[in-house]
Amino acid sequence: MIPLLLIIPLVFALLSVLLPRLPIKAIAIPGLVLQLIASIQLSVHTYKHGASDYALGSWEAPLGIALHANGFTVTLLTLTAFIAIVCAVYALIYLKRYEHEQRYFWPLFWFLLASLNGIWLSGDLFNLYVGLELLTFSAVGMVALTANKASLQAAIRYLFAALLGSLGYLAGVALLYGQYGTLSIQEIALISTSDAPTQVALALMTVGLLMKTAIFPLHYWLPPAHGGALAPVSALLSALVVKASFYILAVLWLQLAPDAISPAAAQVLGALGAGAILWGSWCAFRQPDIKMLVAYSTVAQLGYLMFVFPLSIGTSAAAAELAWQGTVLHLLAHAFAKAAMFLSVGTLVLAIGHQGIKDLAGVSHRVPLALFSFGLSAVSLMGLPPSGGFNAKWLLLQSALSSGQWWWFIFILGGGLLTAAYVFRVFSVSFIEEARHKFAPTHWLLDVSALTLAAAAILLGFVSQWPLTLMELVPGVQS
Amino acid sequence: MMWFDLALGLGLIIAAIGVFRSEDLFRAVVLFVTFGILLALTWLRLQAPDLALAEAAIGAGITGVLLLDTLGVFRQHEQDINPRSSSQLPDISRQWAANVLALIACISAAGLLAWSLFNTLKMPAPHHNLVTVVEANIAYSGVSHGITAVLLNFRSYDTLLEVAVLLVAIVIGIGLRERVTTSANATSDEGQSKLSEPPALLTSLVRLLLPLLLITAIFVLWAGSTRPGGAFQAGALIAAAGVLARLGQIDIAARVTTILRLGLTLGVFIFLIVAVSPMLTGKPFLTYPAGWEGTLILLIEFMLTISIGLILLSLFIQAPRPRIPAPVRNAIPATGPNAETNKGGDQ
Repeated sequence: MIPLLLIIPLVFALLSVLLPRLPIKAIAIPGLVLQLIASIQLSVHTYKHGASDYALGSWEAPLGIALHANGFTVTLLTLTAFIAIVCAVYALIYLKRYEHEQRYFWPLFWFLLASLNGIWLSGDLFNLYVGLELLTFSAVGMVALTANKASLQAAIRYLFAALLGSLGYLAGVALLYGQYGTLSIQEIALISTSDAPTQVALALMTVGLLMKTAIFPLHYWLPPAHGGALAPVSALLSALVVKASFYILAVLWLQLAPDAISPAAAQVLGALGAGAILWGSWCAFRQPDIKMLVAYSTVAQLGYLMFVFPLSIGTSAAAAELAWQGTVLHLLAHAFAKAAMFLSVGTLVLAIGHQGIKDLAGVSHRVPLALFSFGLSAVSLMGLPPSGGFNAKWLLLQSALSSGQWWWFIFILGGGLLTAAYVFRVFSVSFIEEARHKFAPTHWLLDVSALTLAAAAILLGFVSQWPLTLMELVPGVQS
Repeated sequence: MMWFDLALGLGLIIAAIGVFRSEDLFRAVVLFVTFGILLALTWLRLQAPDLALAEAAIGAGITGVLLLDTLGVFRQHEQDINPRSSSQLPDISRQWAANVLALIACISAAGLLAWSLFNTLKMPAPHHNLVTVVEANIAYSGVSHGITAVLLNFRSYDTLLEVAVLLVAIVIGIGLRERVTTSANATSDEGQSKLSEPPALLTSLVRLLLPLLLITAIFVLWAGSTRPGGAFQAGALIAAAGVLARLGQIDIAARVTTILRLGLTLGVFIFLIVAVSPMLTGKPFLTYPAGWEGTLILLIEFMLTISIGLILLSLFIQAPRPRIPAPVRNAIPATGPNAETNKGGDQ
């Protein structure tokens, strides 16, 4: 059952390359439904029987490559399938205006899904590298789709940043292989030591992955790439793509070689996260362009993910578990909320024809549903109850308290206020009655898909125990 | 031999610095190709002939051709291809500071890497030794060359994804190319930059070399199962043949037709079919049926060679190419070949 999650996207990717004249769009939705069913089935299987391994090509791990499905990975797989299907529905309508772009959107979209699923499932350090490469290229290609000067510049910048990150990661993989003689994460986790070469390898990989995750101060490539892309692309990039490199980072630090990590290093990552929250929010606050505001909001929100390291390394098991649960919830809530936000902003921009925040005057009357989705996702981003974002921040706060690290408490709480500051800039304009521009009618499916994701971010606040129950099945990650 | 190695290492560093320091882009590209050739020699000295072949063919060969082609496009635009003299650069002192910073970062990173490499070498042999595991299992892999066994059997999943990466690259390439040509005046007849008739010497040389290259490619492919060689290297040779043919104005695949798309995807397609079919009998994904390993690996490699060759060649041919400089184009500031793509791209 596990390899189906690789085969489905790869087959559809090939079909979309081969037969561009076929109604790829029409076959995309059934394919996505298949993928969603497969990931839910795998989740149920994992819930009932626990984590499972899959030896590709019948070759066991050190020689071959093992796929590994545990509670965390199946959660991510389901998240990916769900967000992909909503973004695809949105893209079906949205891309009608982009006749050329949509021919190349679909193959890249499917390759992107294949690489994401591959990364969530992979149990092999080098295979993760290959997965990251596939992810990077498809993401860069999607940014470059419109092929105007701005998007090409953003894509090239993204490509160079991501390649530099890959290089750091690959150098670390080579060092680890030289030292341990295997690439299997489970095998290395059993024998990893805390000596200097391991630490150098981890440092190289960490810097590379921070670059790819766009953690402050290595975030410079993200705003033009995410803010300049087409709406469904931005949603996929912010919701899922940056999470893939974070996922690998978490596996390295918490599972592969926890002994080699010093609490001081964890504090440094936490400080970067705090810097991301402050700087990202400040920049978001100053953006005149709504899409750039949302992109900088991603920079800020990614900062919260970094708190898992100081809160779970060198702290009590209870604090570590709370931190881990909070981080997973934040990852999920941000994925839903940010995808919803980019999609609703895409609808707003489509309706007005302009991207400036000042141009939003009057949208509360003319495009109320899109603004409503924007508001719902903002509730989750700010961390107001009831929402997934609230539960995530609540758990993180508790973890900061129980581990006695009050300084993170300030940033977690302050980040919510900063988010409120930049989000309310949008609302203060959008409720002005007099419209500046004429409004074009938009398709109802655009609103529905944004609303679905925003509702998911809120609903996550009520069903937070679902992913957390699954998460308890993860061995060796909690502490 | 030690002196040779030392000279090789020094040459690598000098070539690398030269690429960055060169004022002239053409010289930088030449130095880059030199770097690739030196690197291939280094791999050879490290007894990694497979890597040497791949580096020579792809790192130096195809990449070099692509870079030179890009330079040619710049030149056609009659733009200043010397980036340092353009006015957009920050002032000298800032650039100098940035250079020093970059140098310090490079030296410390290199030092750190070297130090940990030496440390790793001093440590006791690792717990796992995959080389012996590969040797113990190679009899069941269907091939006798270790690297091919790893690439197409033990870790064939990596290879499948790698080829997908290549496919993504060419999808992006075709997409950008199509974008440029559709946004350009459709009447300008694709403007295949008719420089002039190719020199007679080139044409006859190409006629001579083409069959030779193709035969070498087939040999390299065939050799892969017993000694260094394989689909990637053979594919690069095919692409080289295509590029040569192109230079000699023998057009093979200039247009994106369904047939070309079929060729591009053929490798991954067959690979995927072979990988999925054992699942029908309950075996894991990517398992070869017993007794058929060698045949199936050869089949996959053959198809991959065609696809990789076509993909690399198409990257060259499908690269966004400017129209013939038309009088309509009033001097756009130096922004490279992408400048004209603005027209149709904006929303």
